[in-house]
Amino acid sequence: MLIWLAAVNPSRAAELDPSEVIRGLERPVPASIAFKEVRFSALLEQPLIVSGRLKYIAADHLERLVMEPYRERTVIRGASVRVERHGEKPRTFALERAPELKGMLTAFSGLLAGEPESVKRHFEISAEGTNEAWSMRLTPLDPRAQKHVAELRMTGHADEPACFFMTSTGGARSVMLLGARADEPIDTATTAEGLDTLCMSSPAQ
Amino acid sequence: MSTMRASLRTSLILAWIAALAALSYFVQHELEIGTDLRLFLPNPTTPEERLLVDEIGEGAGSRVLVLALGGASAEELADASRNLSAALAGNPLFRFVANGELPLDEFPESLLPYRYLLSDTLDEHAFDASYLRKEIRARARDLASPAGAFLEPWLPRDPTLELLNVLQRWQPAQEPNRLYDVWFDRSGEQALLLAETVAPAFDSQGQRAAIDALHAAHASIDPERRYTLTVSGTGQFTVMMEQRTRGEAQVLGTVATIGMIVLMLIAYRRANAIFFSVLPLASAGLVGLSTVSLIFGTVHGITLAFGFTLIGVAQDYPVHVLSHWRAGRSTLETVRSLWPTLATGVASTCIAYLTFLFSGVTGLQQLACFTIAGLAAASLTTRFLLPRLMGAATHDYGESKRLTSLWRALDALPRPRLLPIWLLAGCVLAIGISGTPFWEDDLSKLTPIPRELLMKDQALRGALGAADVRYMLVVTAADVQGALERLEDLAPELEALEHSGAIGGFDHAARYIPSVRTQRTRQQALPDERALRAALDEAQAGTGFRADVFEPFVHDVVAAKKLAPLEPEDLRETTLGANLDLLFTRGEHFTRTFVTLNEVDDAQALSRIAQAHPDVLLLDLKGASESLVAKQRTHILWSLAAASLLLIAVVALALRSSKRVYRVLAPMVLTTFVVLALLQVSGTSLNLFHLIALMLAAGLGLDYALFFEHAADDPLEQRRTLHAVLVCSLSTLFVFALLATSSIPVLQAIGVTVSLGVVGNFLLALVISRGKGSGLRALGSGQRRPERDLEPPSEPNVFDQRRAPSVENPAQRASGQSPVPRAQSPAQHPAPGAQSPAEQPTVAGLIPHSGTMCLLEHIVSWTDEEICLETSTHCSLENPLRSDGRLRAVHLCEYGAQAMAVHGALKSQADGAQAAPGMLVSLRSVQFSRDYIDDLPDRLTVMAECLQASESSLQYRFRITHRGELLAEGRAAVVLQQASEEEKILSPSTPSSPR
Repeated sequence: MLIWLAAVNPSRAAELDPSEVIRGLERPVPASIAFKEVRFSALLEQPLIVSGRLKYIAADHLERLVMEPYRERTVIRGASVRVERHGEKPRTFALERAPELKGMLTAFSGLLAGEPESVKRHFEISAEGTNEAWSMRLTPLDPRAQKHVAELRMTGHADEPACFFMTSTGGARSVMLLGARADEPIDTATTAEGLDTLCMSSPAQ
Repeated sequence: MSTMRASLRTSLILAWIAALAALSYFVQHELEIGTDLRLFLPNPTTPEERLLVDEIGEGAGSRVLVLALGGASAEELADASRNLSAALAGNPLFRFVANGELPLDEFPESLLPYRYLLSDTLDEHAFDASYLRKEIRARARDLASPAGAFLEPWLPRDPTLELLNVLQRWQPAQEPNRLYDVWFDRSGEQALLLAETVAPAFDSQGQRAAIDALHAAHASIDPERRYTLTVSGTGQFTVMMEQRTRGEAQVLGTVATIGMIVLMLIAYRRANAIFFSVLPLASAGLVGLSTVSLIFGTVHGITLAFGFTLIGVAQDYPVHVLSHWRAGRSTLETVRSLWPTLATGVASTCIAYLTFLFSGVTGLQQLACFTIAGLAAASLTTRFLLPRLMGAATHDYGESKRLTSLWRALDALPRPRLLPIWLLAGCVLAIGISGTPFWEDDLSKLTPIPRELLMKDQALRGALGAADVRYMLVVTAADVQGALERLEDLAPELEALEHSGAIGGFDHAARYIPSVRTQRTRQQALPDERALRAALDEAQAGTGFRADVFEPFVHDVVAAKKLAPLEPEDLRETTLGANLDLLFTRGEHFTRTFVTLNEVDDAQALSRIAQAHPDVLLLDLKGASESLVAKQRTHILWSLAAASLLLIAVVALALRSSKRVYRVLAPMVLTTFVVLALLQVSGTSLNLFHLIALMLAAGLGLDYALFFEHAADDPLEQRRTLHAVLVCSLSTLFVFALLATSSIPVLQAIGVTVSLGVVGNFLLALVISRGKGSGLRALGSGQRRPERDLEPPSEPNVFDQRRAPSVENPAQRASGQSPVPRAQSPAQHPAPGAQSPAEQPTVAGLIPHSGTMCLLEHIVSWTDEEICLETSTHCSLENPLRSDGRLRAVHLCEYGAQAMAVHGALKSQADGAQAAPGMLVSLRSVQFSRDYIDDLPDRLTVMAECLQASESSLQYRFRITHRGELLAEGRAAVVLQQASEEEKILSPSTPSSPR
């Protein structure tokens, strides 16, 4: 019903049908996208900024390659996560142990598959904006995930994702700039709010 | 009078039942059933054996249950694993439950500062500026990595991730497969947990409580039963086997009971036979239990099982009485005549079991005690109580038509004298050429647990990276700290073996908790507060971390520097503490600890280490268990050998004739060989259970042979004995053949062995112990088969003189033998003349028949050629030949035979000669004018006429009339013998020549 309405009346609605947006995000596997992650922590004087590529190889297989300022490779495959860093012993831990990561993986898998149903199985979704410039909010349904992940947010323009926001229940935040946005220079003095504004602006600006 | 007797009988029955009830009350309240398998092991002597025996009962491995969750997706199972672990946490029945999770946030707060003493970081690094800088930089990267979110709360307190190091060290050396952070099997289909019970493995009640708790926890976290919980381990097997054994025993017991009742009804055609046969058996069981309970306090479960198996022979005692119970003879008299035979069997069995008291194996001592008390109770009640309940019989099973024809068929069976030798040779040959190992040495195969369950258990334990089950190193020291220090000293050597591939890995207590010595060294290496702050400030510069963020770290290091080192006792309440406890055995003056090994490839290398250190022992569990089993076997075999000698001695003492001893013991010995050969040929190696079963079979065989041997001469007696032994062996065979169908290996082994033993003993006893029947003697020689001419089913061995060669032996008169004294000359003797009956000479004393078996009363007249007698015993209710209250005309042959015997005796007396024993070899042209003779009112006249007499044989014609009416007539041939008794046994058919 909602889908049908959205199809009839495609634009200019403040309330947006997230399914429509999700379908537009479909990418054939394997997909790869550049990222720049800005992580805010109470332990730190300034945010940590790393950049590299995200490789979506299969539904349960994601690779995160950090290229700058050091090299690191994280492979999330099945239920385990392996972090390899040059000159250090690789560390393996269960995906279960990192609910934030698990949430991100679940969301990513659903979004890149372009399957609203699979996303809705794990999250409550709401979207706003227009089909051209949208923002989607994902709140986990699983009570255990809720303990760690407060909210995921993705912004984008048409069928291009722009930013991925993650807010943990403890208040830690990270923002991932995706695709073309990853090239944006980010100052270490930047704030989460500043990035918010940046992500909602249209890529042309 | 009879009502008084009846009421007396009723009160006796009631008193007996009351006594049994009292005993069963006592047993139920006093008896504790033990399940410690060690009671059935001999005392260990070597350190390895001692360790093994400790391990079997109390060892860590045996108390650890493996739990497997299956039937759902890996993710669901991982959740279930966590929930189950949480549900069981704090349960007093378990020392620990582990599912593989690193309990990062469950680490006890009070122990957190100890991480710097437990981790080996300080052995290689100092907490200086350069090390800390490297670590802090790495932490910044961790924060930006996907691991950041879960590490973040820890970083201020633990920037070097010491806790993670400690937890990683605490994981099993061989890391099992993990999915979603919990242990899984290799295929990822089952989530695995370990649960160690507080109760030892063989405490079946404690184990049952623990296993019930596991299932209750499963039910509480999974009410919809979405996945399955499998519990595996010694404890589970203990409980399962108990339940299964009980379940199967119930089913088999019910079928056996019904079968026995049917069999008894068919055999005895009276309901009270069942009641009479149950009382002694119940008395045996209860008296046995009470005795063991009084002497030992507890009874081992195996003692019970084996004991009840062994006293099954007690069921036979009332059966013998019931089969011999007959009209015309008081029950008490019947029992009295059976008693010597019965007592010989019971006494020899009991005395044989006495040897078990000196076996040094507690379980066997209990078994001996139980069996001796039980059998004694059964036999004494059968002898003294049972006959007083049974009243008088109105039947004689010896008269049964079917039994008679069966008896004749069995009689006609060929009886090759060399059979025992051939059989023995065949068995020895079969045992010799079968490739089956004679003995089962593998202790694990002695467990009554089905093989596939053990395999499954091993697979699960293997998936958890469990240690090698065969080898382990044992380190002995004065105390726990000494042991830990020794372990630390040994570690480099073992690491070298690990690198060279001699072993796959090793695990020991010092990996979890270092010695106080090592902890103090690490404390020394920790910087003081000032130095730490200086190093930290320098290290932190430019890393992006806030200046004061590592205050909790400084706090913990300062605390760690002042801590008293951690000792295993301090960990008692934690998961780890429980694990550690398993690695130590604390004696009064020593502490033992174990190094478990994985994938041992080169045991030689390990034994070199053990040889280099006097306090280190390489324990080969397989070797130790095999030597223990071998020792157990030696104990049992010596006991059995002593038992056999005692048994032979008792039987010899009772029978006082080597031939009779041979006839009684040969079937039993041969059967044992036959069963052994059959087991070997079918690929079965012997174990304790087979030996016990063979003992029972031998006990049964002894009884069969004794009874057959006892009844060797009197045909009626033989038939009654055949009846009794048939009932005994059929009922035993029925029960044990049922057991042979059991799925439980022990029950099956016992069932098969005893079934084979019963069949073997029965057949061989028939052939060997009973092989001297009169008609059979001729058969045995192969010279002639005169019994083919037998017209009526008479008593062809009525003349048999095997045990009573002379009329002067009154002690032997009861067995129904009629000597045929032989006249030496054909000269005429004057007849005694016509005398009044009062003056007529009586028959008694001339022939060995006594009491009612002496059928003839008065000699009317006699010459060298013929004799005429009169009698009215056919009217007597006491006539032993009566069956179902009637006396058949067939028995007139016995009247005729006795007349010939009297004639012979008179002729010998007149000659002043010894009566030569004779044997009735044929009856010809026998004719009867009626079926029954008990209704004839007047005296019978019995005439016997000697038609022909030679040195070796006699021919008679006999006629029996009543008031002039011919009742029966016929001709009889008698072969004379003069050989000694011994020769007769060896070559029974040789006709003897006169002096």
